[in-house]
Amino acid sequence: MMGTMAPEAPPPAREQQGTAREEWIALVRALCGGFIFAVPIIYTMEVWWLGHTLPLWKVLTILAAGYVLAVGMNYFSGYREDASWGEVFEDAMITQAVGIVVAFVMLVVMGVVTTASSLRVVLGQVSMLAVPIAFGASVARSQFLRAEEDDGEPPPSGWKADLRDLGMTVLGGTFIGLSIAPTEEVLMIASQSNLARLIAVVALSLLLSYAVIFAADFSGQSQRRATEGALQSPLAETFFSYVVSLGVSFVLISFLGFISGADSLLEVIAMVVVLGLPVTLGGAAGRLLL
Amino acid sequence: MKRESTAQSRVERLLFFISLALVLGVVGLLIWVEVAPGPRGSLVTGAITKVDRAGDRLTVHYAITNHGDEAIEEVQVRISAGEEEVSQPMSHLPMGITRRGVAVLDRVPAEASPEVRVEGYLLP
Repeated sequence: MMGTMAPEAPPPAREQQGTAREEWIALVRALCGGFIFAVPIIYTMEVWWLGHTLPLWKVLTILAAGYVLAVGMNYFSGYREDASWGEVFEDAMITQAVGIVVAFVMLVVMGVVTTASSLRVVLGQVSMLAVPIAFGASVARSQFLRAEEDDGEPPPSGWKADLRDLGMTVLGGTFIGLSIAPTEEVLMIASQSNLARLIAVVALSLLLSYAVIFAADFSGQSQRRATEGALQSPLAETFFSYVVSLGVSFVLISFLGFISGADSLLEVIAMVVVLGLPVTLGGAAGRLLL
Repeated sequence: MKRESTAQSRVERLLFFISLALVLGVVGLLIWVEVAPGPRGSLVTGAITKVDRAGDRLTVHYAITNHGDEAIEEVQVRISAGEEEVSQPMSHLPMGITRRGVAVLDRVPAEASPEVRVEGYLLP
């Protein structure tokens, strides 16, 4: 005789809220990871041109292959334990969508995609960039999580914490910036930028810097929020690190000879701001390593 | 630190369906744009964006845009004002892209106005 099964009770409201918050954080983390991992590719004009020249079947093949690889990435190193195949497929779809959104936002902010761009070109460019960005999103969702470690030593506070952040911002920013600063793309994007676009780049840089350190819950976030120091509050650290990143950007551009006496102040500012975005991301990634 | 697989929340479901719609939308649009009847070939336009005059010297800033559906090569651009003219080639102009250039013309009388025109290009 078959026994009757009691209906499964719905999860408590607090548990549902917790799951929703986890999903939101995972999404922010994926977005941040997509930006960090793919920023050198986003600043490569040859990739933009592939969007122009690749035939449809190749674009679709790249998208499909990217999805299959994302499924593999989520299966072997995904952020769920004992995930079902359905969940793996769904997570891979979310990271693909993150790739599309990040690619579109970056192409618009960089001025590569404008209202004059043809739909076919925009779709091709977004598709080309979405695949590597989706990889970054997958890695960020699964690999950047690190348990809060307690090695017995109290974390630095005060000026030591500020100095530590300054050092890692400069190091991380220089590491990423050096791979982009020598290329022609910075000059090209800067020369085609107007004031509104530059303000958008500044806003995106600040937003990403804040999100990577304080919203994506990558590692040590609670400890970082509790650290005392003049520049340790989220807003102060975000703005201070951005100013430092702009300084790094200026030094790189000057050192590589991209600034001449003939350049106007606005042209110099445009170059510094455009390179400042990847440098800021690099700096934020550097501070994550602490 | 991995998250345990649990019953999916409504947020997670919503995220998945939005993502699915976005990805399928991009794929669908790609196919639609490719198969839909539309203008073929390349339509290239040139426009003057800025003119600086210093005495009889004109500095002409111009923009060349490829509105067509394919990239073109060896674009021949001619900028003229009065009797003076300059030819400037562009090696490659992808579809949907605008390239900007500057031409300097000497001995241009005050009444002459500059013009820019595309004289030809190679199809891929």
